Amino acid sequence: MTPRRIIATVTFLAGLFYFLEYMLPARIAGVTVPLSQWRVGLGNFMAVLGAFAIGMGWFHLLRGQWRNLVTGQDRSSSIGFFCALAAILYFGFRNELEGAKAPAWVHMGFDLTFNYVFMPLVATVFSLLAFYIVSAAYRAFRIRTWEATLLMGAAFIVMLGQVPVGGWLTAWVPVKWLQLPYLGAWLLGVPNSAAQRAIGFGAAVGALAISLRIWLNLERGAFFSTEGK
Amino acid sequence: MAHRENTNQGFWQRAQTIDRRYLFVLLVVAVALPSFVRISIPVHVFDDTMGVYRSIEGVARANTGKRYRKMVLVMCDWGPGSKGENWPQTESVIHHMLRRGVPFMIMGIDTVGPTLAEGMAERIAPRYGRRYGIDWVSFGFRYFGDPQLLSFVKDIPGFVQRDIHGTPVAKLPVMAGIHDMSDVPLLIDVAAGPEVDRWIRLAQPTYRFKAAFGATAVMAPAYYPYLDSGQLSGLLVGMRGGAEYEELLGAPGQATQGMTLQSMAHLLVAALVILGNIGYVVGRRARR
Repeated sequence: MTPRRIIATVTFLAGLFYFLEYMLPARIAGVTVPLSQWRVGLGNFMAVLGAFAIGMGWFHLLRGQWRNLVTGQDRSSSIGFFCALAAILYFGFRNELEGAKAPAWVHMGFDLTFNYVFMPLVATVFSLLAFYIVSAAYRAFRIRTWEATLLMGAAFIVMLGQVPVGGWLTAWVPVKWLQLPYLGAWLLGVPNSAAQRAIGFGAAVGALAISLRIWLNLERGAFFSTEGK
Repeated sequence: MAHRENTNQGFWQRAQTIDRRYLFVLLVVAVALPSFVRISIPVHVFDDTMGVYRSIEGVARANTGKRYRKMVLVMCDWGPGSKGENWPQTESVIHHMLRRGVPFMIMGIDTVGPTLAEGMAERIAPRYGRRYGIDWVSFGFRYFGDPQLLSFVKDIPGFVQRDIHGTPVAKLPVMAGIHDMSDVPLLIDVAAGPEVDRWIRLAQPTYRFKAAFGATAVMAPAYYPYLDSGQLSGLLVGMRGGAEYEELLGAPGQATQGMTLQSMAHLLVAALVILGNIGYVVGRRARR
């Protein structure tokens, strides 16, 4: 049996189990269907498989960085990677395993590496998006056509309605539902909701089709297409 | 006259093509301004945030006088990248549950979110005399695909087995009477991605629990249909949701301050868009 056949068979059996477990009643003609009893064990087994995937990620990351270090390609980044890895592993493990018994400098080291380096760095990377959104919004929102004007108008209402200043700017408007927060909420709750529902239906039908293709081994993925090359 | 008209057209042409470095500086100034000038704008509480508040109040009322209290599951599926939005949401709901004595369990598919939520609970719990293991518990990061979700909802103690400190579930008083998802009337999923979809799709039809979602502002518009259908009882939208919840709790914090900064940023974007469009219209008329 080729690896492809094994993968296809396991995929089919795994999908068949969850399909039957969901569709079949707990008892048929007085006989208990045992599938539900195996659900917890099977889920735990797949969690163990997931742990293997984390291990593989570690292996590939370390191998790639070691290769960079040895070959001299982008050596400074690799040195920084290994130093940071060693530091956070050391402080992290000692902080976790020793708890209150660890010396103060271990707690300080963990605080430094996790709360004062890692957390701000990740937050900063995502915060950079804010600057690009300002620049993109300024350049993209032009009233070239009626549709673009409508889009811009809706964006204005929702953007200002979602922040307190929108309510403050239109607090004087006597008709409540014309104030920005209420208008923005209506736009999100009615037209947006209808459009999102339509998109959701389309995506769900597409997901159903692709799931069936994967389950029945009709999908040609990267693994199968590179076999034999 | 012709020279003045040319100068005006040059100005409006430049208004459409401001170097983005100036835009970045303007954004920094707009966001930093409230630090120097005291600006306080009242926060309006939307119905979607109110829905989350009422859901927790409902659990608190249902638990009154009961021997075995039902729990709330708080899934912290967020990390430092969405900290600005998800941190205040998580902190607010944890604060509310600790104040009202609603027992809850913390879990997450992100490695950082549950750790941060534990820190929040440890900081807030002493104010109300709540204790770990009796009023709340954390199961930390769990690898949680669809099969694991199906296992968890069917047999919660069997799936989690131990908490983050290694204590068996059977020795945790807060987990007494908790067997499956029917003992968890409310799920609050605070996430940077579409995690709540799986709960609604796979578990809610069987176990009929209420679900509330703490979403980033980018994700939130996709979840209004779930509010309409009742599959979500409440929705916290970005930092605004956190600020509104702080308003409901009477405990203004990080999100309330952040909304002032966000207001300045949104005003700046609005002003720049107006400026660019005036320049566009003037330029178009001049070309005709």
